[in-house]
Amino acid sequence: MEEPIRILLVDDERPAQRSMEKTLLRAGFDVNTASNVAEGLELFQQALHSPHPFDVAVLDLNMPNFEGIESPTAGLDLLEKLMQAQPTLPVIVLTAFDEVAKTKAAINAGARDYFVKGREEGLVELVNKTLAGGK
Amino acid sequence: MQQASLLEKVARTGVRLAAIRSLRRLLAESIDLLRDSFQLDSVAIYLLDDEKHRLLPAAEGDALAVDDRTAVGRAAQQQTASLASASEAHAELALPLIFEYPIGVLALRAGRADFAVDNIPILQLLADQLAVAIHNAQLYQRDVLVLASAERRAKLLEAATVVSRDVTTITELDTLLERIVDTICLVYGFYYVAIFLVEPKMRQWAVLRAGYGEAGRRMLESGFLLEVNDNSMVGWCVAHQQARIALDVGKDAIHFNNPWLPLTRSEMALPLIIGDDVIGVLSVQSAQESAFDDKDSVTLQVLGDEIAIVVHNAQLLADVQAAHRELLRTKTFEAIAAATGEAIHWVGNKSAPIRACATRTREDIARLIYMADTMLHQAPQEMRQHLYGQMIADAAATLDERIPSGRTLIAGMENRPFKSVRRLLSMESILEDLDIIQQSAETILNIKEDLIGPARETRPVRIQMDEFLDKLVASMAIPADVQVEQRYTPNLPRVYADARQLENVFRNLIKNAVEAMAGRSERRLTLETLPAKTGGLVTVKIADTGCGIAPGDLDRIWIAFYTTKGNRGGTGLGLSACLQIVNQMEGKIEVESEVNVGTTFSVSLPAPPE
Repeated sequence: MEEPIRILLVDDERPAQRSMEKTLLRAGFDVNTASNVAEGLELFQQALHSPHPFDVAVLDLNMPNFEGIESPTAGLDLLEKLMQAQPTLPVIVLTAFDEVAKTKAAINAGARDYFVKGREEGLVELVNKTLAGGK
Repeated sequence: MQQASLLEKVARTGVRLAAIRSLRRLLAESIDLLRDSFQLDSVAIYLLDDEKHRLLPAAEGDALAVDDRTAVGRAAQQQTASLASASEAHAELALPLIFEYPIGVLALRAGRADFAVDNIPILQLLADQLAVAIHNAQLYQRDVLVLASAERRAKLLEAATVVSRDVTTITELDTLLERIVDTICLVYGFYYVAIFLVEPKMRQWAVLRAGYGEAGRRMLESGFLLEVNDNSMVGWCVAHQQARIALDVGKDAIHFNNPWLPLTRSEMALPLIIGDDVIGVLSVQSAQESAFDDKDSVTLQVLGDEIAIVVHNAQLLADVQAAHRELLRTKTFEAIAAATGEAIHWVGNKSAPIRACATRTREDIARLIYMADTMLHQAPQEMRQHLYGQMIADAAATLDERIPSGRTLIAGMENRPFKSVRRLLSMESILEDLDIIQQSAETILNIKEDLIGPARETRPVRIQMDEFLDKLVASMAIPADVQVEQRYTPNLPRVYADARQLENVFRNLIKNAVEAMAGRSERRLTLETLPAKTGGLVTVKIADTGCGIAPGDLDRIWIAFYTTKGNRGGTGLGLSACLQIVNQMEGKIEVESEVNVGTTFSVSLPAPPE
């Protein structure tokens, strides 16, 4: 049996994170979640050195800190780190409100697409579309 | 009249005349003196006008021409005594008054006999003495005027210096106008001076803004003003944009009889002009007639122009300040707009999972019902007829109606292993989704409190801060491993504030403090009360041993939604709401912090004496 797609989900809003996790799980994906940037990076590194690294990463752009220091660009910073380590990794960035500037910056930094939080079914479609595009 | 005694009389009269310095007094008294001393029927004095064509009587009467139609005219024309018959028994003697140049004519009327030819030279002597006296009096008057004029100009310069110094030190316009009015009054010795300013919008009224002395004070208190029309000097001045001078207010048609200023005899209204507009009037009143000469008018108008500039500058300053306040209000609106943007973002964030959780819950409940219903169809009759059986069948039927092809939710599930299905469908999951929905809704509702809390109407009461803090801490679920230290100063005055608002503030601060200490080795919350450095205030300090706030962020923490992110669990609006509430209470809130050591919030609250 083909291994399920591995998704890394990083979002510091617990309720939103849990809900998205369940949606993705029920859509058949294998989901690992992290509630802050440091945790996310750790999970990523672990998977990178495992037989099956993450196939897709879903990152919230609005996370508060990186390595313990408050930073408004923590989400972007994580994105850059992931891109450095695994340049072909498709990354979808989450924004709760249409933050054009940040989103543009994320796309420029290598994000494959963006998703405005709200209708979670849309997220599943987007992940599928992204994976299809990659292949 | 005997010659010897006449001469003597003339001499004595001469002496008396010479003693009178005031021209006006001289003219008045000499007529009586001459008439009585020499037992004449009447005495008249005529003074030549500037062109030397007419003779103006010092007392009542008509002016006469310098010609030979009258004795007086002839005397002036020929510069020699002239005798004429007034009637049968009476004669008129006109004697020229000359002192180096013709001054006028002295006219005497008496019985014919009194004007015997021999007496005329003696009477001319009298006229000469009078001429000298008049000349001296005129000189004196001129000298006095010159001196007074010079003195006044010097004092005016002094006054101008005082005024310009005041301009830089006094910014309150009304105070400045009072000083100007007092200065002018004291320098010139005027009876009354006042400054009116024209009401700027309709320009219908000249409003009194400063007035000298008791009269001024009373009029200011009563809100004295004059309409811009021709019924008063001040009103006229504004209406016609010109100065107006009345040297004898009794004769001026438009003098306004002010009951508070009964002694006014001359009045001057000078316009205060900026550009093309009359912005006010300088009103000057004297208890003397003809109190103002041309020089006074000019120098006072100069002062008026300076006053106009001062008033204009003060008004400009007031406009600038008003514009600045407006700008601050606009900046506040900008801040509110920014905060609203943040609020939308935040609400979007918090509400995002609600829909998915609700859908999932619906589907999961449907699945469970369908599962039960499927079992029911395979169960014996009694089970289907059991109440519970009927309930399940009924529920499934409703679902079939409501969710088209709902049964697909369990399609193919029967053949899957328990563990695999349970991973996705479980009571835990359903309850979790419902929790997420509830929490999200609560958080959004809580922010309503933070948003409108500061705007809520307050009912201040007296609060003893020690008790208040203890009660609050007891009601909050502070983790057991957080040490709570109280450092209360005894006998502090009670704070006067709305209890609910106060609770919002301190609940917020204490919650922040506890959260800041998450994961720290030392977790200590210190509550301190002490008297503020400024009187009438009590300071409460909430200190933690948390991670601290970086110096660059100390200002930003007050911004609405500054830290809206996840784990905090707070609304992020907390500190901004706290700031608003404390400001409204007319208290102060400040923060001190050191990274990795801790943070202390100091709240100073009003504690007025009871």
